[in-house]
This record gives sequence, structure tokens and C-alpha cells, in this order.
Amino acid sequence: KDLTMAHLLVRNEEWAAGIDRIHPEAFPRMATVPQRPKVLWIGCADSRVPESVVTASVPGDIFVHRNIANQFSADDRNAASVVQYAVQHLRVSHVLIVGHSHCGGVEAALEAVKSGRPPSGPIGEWLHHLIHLAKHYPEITELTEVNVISAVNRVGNFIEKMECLDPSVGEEAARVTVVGMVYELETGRLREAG
Amino acid sequence: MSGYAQKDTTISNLVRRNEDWAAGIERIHPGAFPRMARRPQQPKVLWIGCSDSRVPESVITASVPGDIFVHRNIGNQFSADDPSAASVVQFAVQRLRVSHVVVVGHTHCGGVAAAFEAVKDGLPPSGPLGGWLHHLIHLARHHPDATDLTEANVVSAIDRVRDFIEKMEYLDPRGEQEFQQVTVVGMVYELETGRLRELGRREVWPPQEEADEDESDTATVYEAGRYENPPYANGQYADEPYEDGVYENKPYANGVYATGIPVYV
Repeated sequence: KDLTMAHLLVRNEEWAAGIDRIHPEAFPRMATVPQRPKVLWIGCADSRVPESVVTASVPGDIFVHRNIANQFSADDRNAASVVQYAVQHLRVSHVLIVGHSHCGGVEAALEAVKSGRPPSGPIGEWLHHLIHLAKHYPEITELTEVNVISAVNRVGNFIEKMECLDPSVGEEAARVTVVGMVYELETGRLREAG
Repeated sequence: MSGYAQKDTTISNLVRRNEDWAAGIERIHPGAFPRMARRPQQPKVLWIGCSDSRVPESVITASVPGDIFVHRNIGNQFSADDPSAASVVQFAVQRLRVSHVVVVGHTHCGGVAAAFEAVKDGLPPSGPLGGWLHHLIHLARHHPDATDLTEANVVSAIDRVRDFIEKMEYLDPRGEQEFQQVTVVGMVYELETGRLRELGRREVWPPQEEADEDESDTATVYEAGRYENPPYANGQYADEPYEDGVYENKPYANGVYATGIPVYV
């Protein structure tokens, strides 16, 4: 009856069966070895930017946090816990903040500035920082970049503070590089921001 | 490629693989990227899953860009009090009109393991992680087996998503939108086998505004926006972008008819 779910499950089954055929030990091994990704990707929830597809990555490569318009704030326990876990427990070497062209969150922020009111509900609250940026950067490409750079700075500050609060984290924190990128829907290419 | 990326092999590898992938798509489907950029996204599914690197939703479901709207956090949590997850669900249901929200837990979850440790130690981890795991730690006290806890966690999340969607009328106080039915599905991804299995589902209707039967004293005004069919009024097609106005046909976008805002005359 539910075609959408049926398709999802069939595609998963075919994918898994294919792996079983070619690499029969792959799944059992993945279950017994802890994950060791080098990269944390903080990106947008947008369906057109699935990190593992656009970077041709396999399970185990990238630790992922996706929200509307790739936001980061130390006050957001959701994103903050992801960064903490990635740096402290997984010891990633890189945190990527990835914005993209035609971002619905960025467009909504510009709309909010134009109309003079934020959207109702949690989205309005969520876009607070982006709306603030939009007042100073009314052009969409620039706003997309500035949004990424702002998040890069905030993640950097957060990781530094983690180091201060917990000296045992010091070594891991010093090893982390935070990079801002923009994914261009028009070309499918990732480029560095700023 | 910038000089910075060249010095950093992790980043340069990522960029190179992206370049190879994009170039491959261009060869096989020329024009695919510009086409995707021109259209709004129309995913049918929102995936709320774990940040775990071993559970990339699009790889394990062989999905392509445009298929799945995604929120991933530690332990695939959902709470109406979490603006991050709540805004994703609101956006997905209200603007993207997804038909399904799938919450996906998985075996060998680090969040689940951390919750058990917290129960054992008698205190949560320090930092934001401790606060984030609050609900999971609470569940761990009642479900001391990992499989059991993984499932209870997913079931708890789909109930909360269902409740949140049901209450969405607070998010649409003027009742301007017609919402579609949403099926919230709980699943577990088994690392051991690479298979997804369903735990349960909840059907939910966001609150609907009753249609105004007597329309004689109301005009219909469609919001400013880009519609796929040219709306027209007074025998003339409107100019893009189509401004707020009373149109004679029902404009539509993303395969859905726009809902007019009744203006009481």
C-alpha cells in the first residue's frame, strides 16, 4: 500500500545484497569495528546536498549533522553535542561547514527581512541569526558565504572553549581544522568559502 | 582548487572525489545540475537519523540528490523543544509537503552506549552532550538492553514527531494552509546486515482549517510567489513574480495548488 516506503526498503535491500555479494565480510566487520571518520560535515538538510553522494564517500567516512541552513551555535545543544562528540570521542581531524546555493533557509531569511516579520513557529526562532545576517547582506550569494564563515568562526570558538574546560581534550582540539565550503547546485561542485 | 586545499590531503581528497563525481554526472546526464538548480526541491521523505558515519541515508537507500530531506543528530532524537529538529519537521511538512517522516535508529549507536555509561556511572557526560542525552539516559534506566533501548528510543521519537505535527495549528494561526497526511515511520538500521527494518508507524493529519462554505463574501488572494502556471486576472496573465492578488485560476507550485488567503469583503 505504501509505495514510498516500499521503494525505500527495496532499494536498501538491493544495495545491501549487492555489498554482500561483492564484499561478504563488509557488514559484519562494520558492526564490530568502531567508527573512525576523519571528517564531521555540518551541512544543510536540503535533499539536494547528501554529503556522501556528492563526495562519493562510503559508510564510515563522514560523521554528519544536517539542519536548516547549516547553522552552528554553542547554545544549540543539538549541534554542540555533535561537535563535542566528534572532537572528543571520534577525534575527527576536520569539521566542514557546508552551505549551498538555492538554500531555502537563506531565502526564507531574506523574505523575513523584506516582509518585516519572521516565519511563525520554530522556523522563525531557528532563523534568528540568519535573519540578522540577512539585514547586512541582502544579496543571496554573499549571505550564503557569510553564513558559512560565521558558522566556521563559531565552531572554532566552541572547540577552543572545549579545550579550556577540559584540558584532556587539548590535544584533539588542537588537531582540528575547521573549513567552510559552498556546494554549487548549478555545477555539483564543492568550493571553499571566503 | 585553492592552495589551501592542495596542502590539506583530507580536504583535497574530498574535493577531488566530488569533482570526479560531478564530472561523471555531467558526462552521463549533461544539463542535470543546472536543471536541478532551477527547480525547488521536492523530496517525499524526511529522514531523522543518527550522525553516525556508518548510516548515510542516501547511500544505504541508494537514493539520489533530491530524494530525502535529512536531519541527523546524536542518537536520532526528536523533541518539540529542540528548535533544530522542530524547524526541520515544520519546514518538511509545511513547505516541502513531505508524505513521510522516517526516524531511523541503528545498532551499535554511540549515543545509546553513552546513555548506558551514564546510568552506570550515575552521572551524565559533561558538556552539551550530557544535556543532549537527557531523554535517552532516562529511557536507559527502563530499558537496560541495547536492542530494547534502541527500539524504545525510536518509538519514543515517532510518537513525539506525531504529536508535534498534530499540534502544528499553532504554527499556522490563520489556517492558510491545507496540509497533507503524513506517515511517521520508525526504523532500525542493522549494521550487521546493512538492512533497514520497520518498527512501527503513525498516521497523522496536521490540523485542517474547515473550508468556508459560504464564499460569497470572501475573495481569494494568493500569496506572492513563483507559480508554475501563469495566474491570470481580468483576462490578462500576471507578470512574474506573481504578486499578491485575486486570480481567476488556482496557481500552483511544486505540484500543489496554492491556498488562497480568504479576504473578507
